[in-house]
Amino acid sequence: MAFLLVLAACGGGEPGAAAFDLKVHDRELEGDDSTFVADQGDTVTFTINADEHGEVHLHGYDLRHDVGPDAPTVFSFEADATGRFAIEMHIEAADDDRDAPADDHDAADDHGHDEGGADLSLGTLEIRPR
Amino acid sequence: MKRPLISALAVTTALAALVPATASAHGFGERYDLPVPLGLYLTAAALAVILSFVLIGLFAKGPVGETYPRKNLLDWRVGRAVASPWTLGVIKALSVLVFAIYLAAGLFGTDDPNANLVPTMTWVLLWVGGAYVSALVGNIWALISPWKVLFGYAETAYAKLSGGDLARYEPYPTGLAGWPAFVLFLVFAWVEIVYTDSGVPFNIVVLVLAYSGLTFVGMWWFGRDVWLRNGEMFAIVLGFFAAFAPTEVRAREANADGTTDTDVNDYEAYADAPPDDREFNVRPWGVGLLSTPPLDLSHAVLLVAMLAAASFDGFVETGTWTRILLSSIFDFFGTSAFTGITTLGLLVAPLVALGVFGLTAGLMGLLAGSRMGTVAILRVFAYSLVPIALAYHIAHFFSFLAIQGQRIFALASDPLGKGWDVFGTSDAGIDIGIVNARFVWFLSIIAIVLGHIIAVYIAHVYAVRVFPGKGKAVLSQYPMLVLMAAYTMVSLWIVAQPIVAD
Repeated sequence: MAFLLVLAACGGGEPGAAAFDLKVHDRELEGDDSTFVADQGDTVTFTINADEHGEVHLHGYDLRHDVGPDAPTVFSFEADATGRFAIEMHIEAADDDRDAPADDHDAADDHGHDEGGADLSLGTLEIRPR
Repeated sequence: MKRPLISALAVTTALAALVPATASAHGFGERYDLPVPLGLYLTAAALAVILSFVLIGLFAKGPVGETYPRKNLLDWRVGRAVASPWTLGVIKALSVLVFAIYLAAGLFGTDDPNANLVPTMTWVLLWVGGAYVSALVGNIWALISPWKVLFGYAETAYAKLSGGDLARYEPYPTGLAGWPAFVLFLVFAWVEIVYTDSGVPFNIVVLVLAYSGLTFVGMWWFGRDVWLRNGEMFAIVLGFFAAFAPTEVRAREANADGTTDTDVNDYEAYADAPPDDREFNVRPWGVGLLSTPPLDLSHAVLLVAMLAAASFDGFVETGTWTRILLSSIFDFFGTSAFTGITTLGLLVAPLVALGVFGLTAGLMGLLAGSRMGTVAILRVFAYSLVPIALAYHIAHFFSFLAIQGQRIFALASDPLGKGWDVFGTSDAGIDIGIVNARFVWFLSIIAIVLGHIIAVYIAHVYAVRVFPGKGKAVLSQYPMLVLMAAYTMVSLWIVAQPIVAD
């Protein structure tokens, strides 16, 4: 066990910074990358541009921030804990969608997505041990 | 009206959106594990293989006896106090109390899986933690099983009131053996791996109540210990792990002809034996596996099915399984096929494992020139696979237990999720940084390599014991070595994969 702990404690490098820009358009994350990698101890900054209102949730660290089309959302935190953490965007169903059970809103929607609520995956944040 | 969101960001996300079940593969509770890096994975694989051959070379000598160093804790006052009827009685009563709170939480508590005691108690503490404690400390379930304790209470009360036996002690059909437990284990594994609502407290407790009813009926009809040995799946499965444990109970029984027998880990005999004929021993880890009598076929099949289900459970969490589902199966059958396909996989995995193990046993018999027969060989060697299963269990679940297990502090104060604060710990959060990934990686590969070596050694000891001639016994071990190496590679491969279903 002591051997393990010594191994676990060593590792090199000074904590740095990692910044990720995420753009959500038509309920999809733009770009091919969906795994974002940083080292333990880094200051991680997310800048999120979304074309609709919702809440971004970083699992594990349990950080939640509102996002929307008006302005980019920027948040930073220190990545103390190693692991793989899902990043999700929770979108609530639009009010008219909930009130009108059989409207033809979806058919008329030329944005390529409906107004229903959704949990959208924005990928995974990997914090690797230092 | 609303079509399901199909996001093509990544296969994993698409699957999570399509199939809610994978989001709760363990009923609830997220995994944040970083997969073991490729370099470590390959190093561990190479080490396992090389050390196997070194071991066979090293230990290819005389037979190893069934005795091992052990110390009777009852020789000491502290040991006697721990094993006294008073202490055990308090522990049993506490177990029943916790069981009652657990049932109440499921029936009347919140349906939020993380705010209710039931999912954490079931999947984290009992299933994952119970196996850890059974293997690394001792056979905890033989002491605290609420069904065993409650039936014992009922028996005592009945005997006081009527003077007779509550149980009917109907003769247990010989052919039935441990098959009830085998079937019940498959049902349990299905609930754990496939069932979409296995995180819903109410559903879990309804299943537990049904299982309780069945267990009580079995104990009443056949007698408590007969059913615990053949039908109570948790007692049997945790008992497999406990064969590795550093504690054991022994009871000396005098025969009619003046000789004495010693029963190891026979809790019925231990309870009936006079205090002077009891032993409560500590022993090195794993040595208990050197003196296990051959399992009967049903229990051997259950053991192999348990190993297969555990590996399959790990496999369905990997991206590979997700890709298989998304690339071919879902295209062909639609996403509703998830339940059917996973159920099929869960049934096929034990069959494949049994087929491979059976083939190995057959080859072993051929190479050793033994007349034992494949089934007899399989029954002798089944236990030797336990260290590999245990190592995988430790590697795969350590961080899950360390992180999700922390929920118990808050849940102890508020088991029903009603806003109580009994112990003042209801705000206790979860520290996701409690274990560093590098620590978990090294722990995982060391556990897996060690488990593999112990398994190879134990199989070797049995080979020398049951096969005629040292040379042939060693020869018989090559198929076993291949089987064990393959099993260890499966374990290593799984812990080197990202867990995509949380």
